[in-house]
Amino acid sequence: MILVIGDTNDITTNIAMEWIRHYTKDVKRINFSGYTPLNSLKITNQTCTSKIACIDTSKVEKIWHRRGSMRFLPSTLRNTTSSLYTYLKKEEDSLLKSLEDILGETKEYIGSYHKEVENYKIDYLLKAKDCGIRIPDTLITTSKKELQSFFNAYDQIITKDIRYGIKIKAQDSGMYSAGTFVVSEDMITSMKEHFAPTLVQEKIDKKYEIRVFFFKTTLYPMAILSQNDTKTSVDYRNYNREKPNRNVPVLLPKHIEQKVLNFIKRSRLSTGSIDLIVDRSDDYIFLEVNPQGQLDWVSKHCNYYIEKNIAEYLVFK
Amino acid sequence: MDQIKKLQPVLPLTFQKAEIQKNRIFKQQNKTIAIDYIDTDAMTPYSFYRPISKIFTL
Repeated sequence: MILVIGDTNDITTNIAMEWIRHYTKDVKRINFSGYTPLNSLKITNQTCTSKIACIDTSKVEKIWHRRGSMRFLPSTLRNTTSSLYTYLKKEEDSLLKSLEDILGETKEYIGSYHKEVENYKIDYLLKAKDCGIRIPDTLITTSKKELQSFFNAYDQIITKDIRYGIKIKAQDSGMYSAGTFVVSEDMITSMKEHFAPTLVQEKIDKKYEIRVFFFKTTLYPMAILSQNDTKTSVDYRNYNREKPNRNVPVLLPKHIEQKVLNFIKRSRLSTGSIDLIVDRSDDYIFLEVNPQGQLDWVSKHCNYYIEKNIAEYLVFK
Repeated sequence: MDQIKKLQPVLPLTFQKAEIQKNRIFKQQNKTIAIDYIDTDAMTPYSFYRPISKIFTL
């Protein structure tokens, strides 16, 4: 049996499920947006068994964890006061992580919720560097003096979130991250001498960006021609909805491909999306990796049929 | 949000360009039934763009 953990509105889950069902009927799906009953997780000195949404997990051979997580909290508890929900969510998260590890011991588990949650950019930058992939010079600091020195050392620098995008909700409004942007001297001048940890990087003069979706050891690279649009020139994710960037399939040089595969192996990721920049000297620079990211646009822009390939792997391999 | 703005000099640089967006609250018989908010953190790519506003039923 194949178990797919996804989301009701996730286009990739939906398309892949169509392909899977075309090949086999022996598949179950759990959606992030719904409540998933944890019937039991029984641990004895001899055995460890689980039953989730009435699925005996001993009958599951492969799990594809595409998006989100199982949600064991009933919906009434999700709308409680924020501190109660925060506590319950922490308990749920610790259970989810253990469950992922337990299931991963006895079956092929592709994808991960806790890799997504514990997606620490700094750690992955270091792993990429260890695998021989160039990374942007990076500073994380709470000191205005250090920040100013870094600013002075490069033509331009950018800033972005260390891990989580800003998402602060109030009664009738919310404050949200603006993504990656260029830092000006005025911004630094307005800061106090010490502040909360801030991440800055040298701004790479890029020719184009590459998103590499990978599933196991198969790479699906796509070039994003973001440079000619001022809105997307710093980061393609500052999307221009009126005039989107051109996206095309691209081949990675063999030596870069090997470094990327080494990085995937070192990071113990089974699937995800890597963001690279190609600079004016045709150097490849690693930015970050997302264990659970959007891939339908890579699949469709490049005619990769990634969802079909995933389905075939799950059913036949 | 005003308090956050006052704290800006000691917040990470990323707050200097953070966007404030209003929620749109849908009411029926004076009861809130849904909140529609734009989540700019969604990172949903353009071409096969799913609307990044979500309707939540409370």
